[in-house]
Amino acid sequence: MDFYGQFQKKLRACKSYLDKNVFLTLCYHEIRVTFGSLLQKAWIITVLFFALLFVTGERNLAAISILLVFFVFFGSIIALVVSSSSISGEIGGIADSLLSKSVKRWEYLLSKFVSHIIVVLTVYFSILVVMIGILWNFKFLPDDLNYENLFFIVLLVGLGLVFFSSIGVLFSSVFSKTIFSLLASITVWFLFVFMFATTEWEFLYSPVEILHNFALILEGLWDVDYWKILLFYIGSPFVFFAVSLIFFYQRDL
Amino acid sequence: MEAVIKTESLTKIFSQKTIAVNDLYMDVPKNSIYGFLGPNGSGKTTTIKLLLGLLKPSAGSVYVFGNPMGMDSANMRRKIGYLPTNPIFPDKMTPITYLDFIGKIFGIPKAIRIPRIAELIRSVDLLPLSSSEIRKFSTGEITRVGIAACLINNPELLIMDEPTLGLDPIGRSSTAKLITELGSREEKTIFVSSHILTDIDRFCTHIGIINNGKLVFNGTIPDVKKLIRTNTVELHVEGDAAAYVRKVKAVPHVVDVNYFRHVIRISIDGPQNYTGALLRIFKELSEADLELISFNSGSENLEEAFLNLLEEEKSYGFLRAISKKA
Repeated sequence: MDFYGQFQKKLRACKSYLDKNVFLTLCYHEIRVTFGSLLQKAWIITVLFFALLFVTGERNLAAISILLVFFVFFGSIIALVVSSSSISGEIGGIADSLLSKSVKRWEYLLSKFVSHIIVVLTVYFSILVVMIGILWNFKFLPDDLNYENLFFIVLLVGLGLVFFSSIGVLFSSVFSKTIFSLLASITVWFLFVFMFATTEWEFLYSPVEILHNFALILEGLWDVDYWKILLFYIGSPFVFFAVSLIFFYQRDL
Repeated sequence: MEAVIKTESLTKIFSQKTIAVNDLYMDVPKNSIYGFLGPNGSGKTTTIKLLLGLLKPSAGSVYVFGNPMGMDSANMRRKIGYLPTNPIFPDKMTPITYLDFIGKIFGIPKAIRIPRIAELIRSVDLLPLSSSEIRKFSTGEITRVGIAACLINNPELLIMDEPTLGLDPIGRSSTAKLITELGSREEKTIFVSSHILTDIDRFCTHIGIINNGKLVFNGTIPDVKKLIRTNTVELHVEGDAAAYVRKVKAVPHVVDVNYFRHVIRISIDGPQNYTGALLRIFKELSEADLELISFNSGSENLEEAFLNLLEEEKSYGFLRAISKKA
């Protein structure tokens, strides 16, 4: 069999595997449902509108920093609200239906985490990268801009959104009623974002800290251990997933 | 006969307050249509959720296909089809997309899945609605989607929780026919829970009666009917029955004959003489100048059997703590 034939054969086998894989099916379904929700659509339209407004208004680096502020304050809330009903909203209905079939609890839970993270990052990165691209294309950005540091800031804020999205799913798996998981999630937002935005307090792991030190990070002058922040934001979803597993496996449906 | 479902001392207590299922010993034989009967709030749905691994038992165990059922027994659930009461479906899905989604969950390859979906949609008469959103369907249409979904993996065991609830008489009749067909022709084991006695009587071969979480009866339909056999027979006749009534009173083992408005109610002294006396009664009828419109025997009344069993179970009082199995 020639190379093309072998490639076709492998592609068919791969497609067949993906087609029957429970976890991927659940993820794809959840992503479709999340993108299809009214709140998510409203959020995407709103953020696109403001992104265009900032870019056309500021036409410099400030547009990106304003957009990042917008994502930290509003994007985090939206990520929390959307994810806090992901499991509690389905208990007694769709969750029962799925878990009464050949779906394991950890597959169901992991698909929730992964799909919400994918959705939040897709919206965030696609808008930000396009805006940065527009600004760069029309030469609105300074020539001496350190793009590596800029994308590092973008990455940190993105990881912050992943943190909030994961915590929403965690509370959704712990609490049986969506209202309680929403309240718990909003409390976290209040402590991690609102408190540090409106007071003089500092907390290294708050996304607000990244915004406060935007200029310093851009210049490479922020004197902190970046690995700690990265570990916190990357490790948190794994910890939340582990905690969710413990609670979800004790839970009656 | 090998049991597809077996429970041993199955108990479920919610929040240390409510005993939903109480020391349940149940056997569901292979290829049977097992009716799980009980009043509202008796523990039927909780039992079903325990059978599927959706709830963790407080005590006891559940065996399905000879293996213990747990929360992650996904491979065992591949052989089970489940129809819940009032099934809920994801928003904005049509029967085709939903069945395709469920088919993928069950790991059915595309080449088998697509023709199966088409066949199921046609079988449940949803062809005109196959591309409409399920959320706009009526109760009967939703149940039909649920039935299609529980059959997509061609399961060996079907668990149906109140499948005829909310259906009109045509829907109920279709569902009953489907259950009978699946049980007899397809040789599936079917576990149906209901509080509608006539449905259970119509298509079940075995029955389990649950009350307040406790199984009060576990056996075949004839067995349960034997329990309440009142040794009476009612004949609806047309014509002058006075002479016939006098002859029936002379039949050995007949203790009482009551004739009112074309209905002759005959009581026999005991179950051991029931068959013999009945033969004589019908022999006399064949020689009488009467037309038999219909007849009933007390043993056909499942509703009476059900109510009598509940009363009897209650009357045991503290003895219920000793008796383990129904």
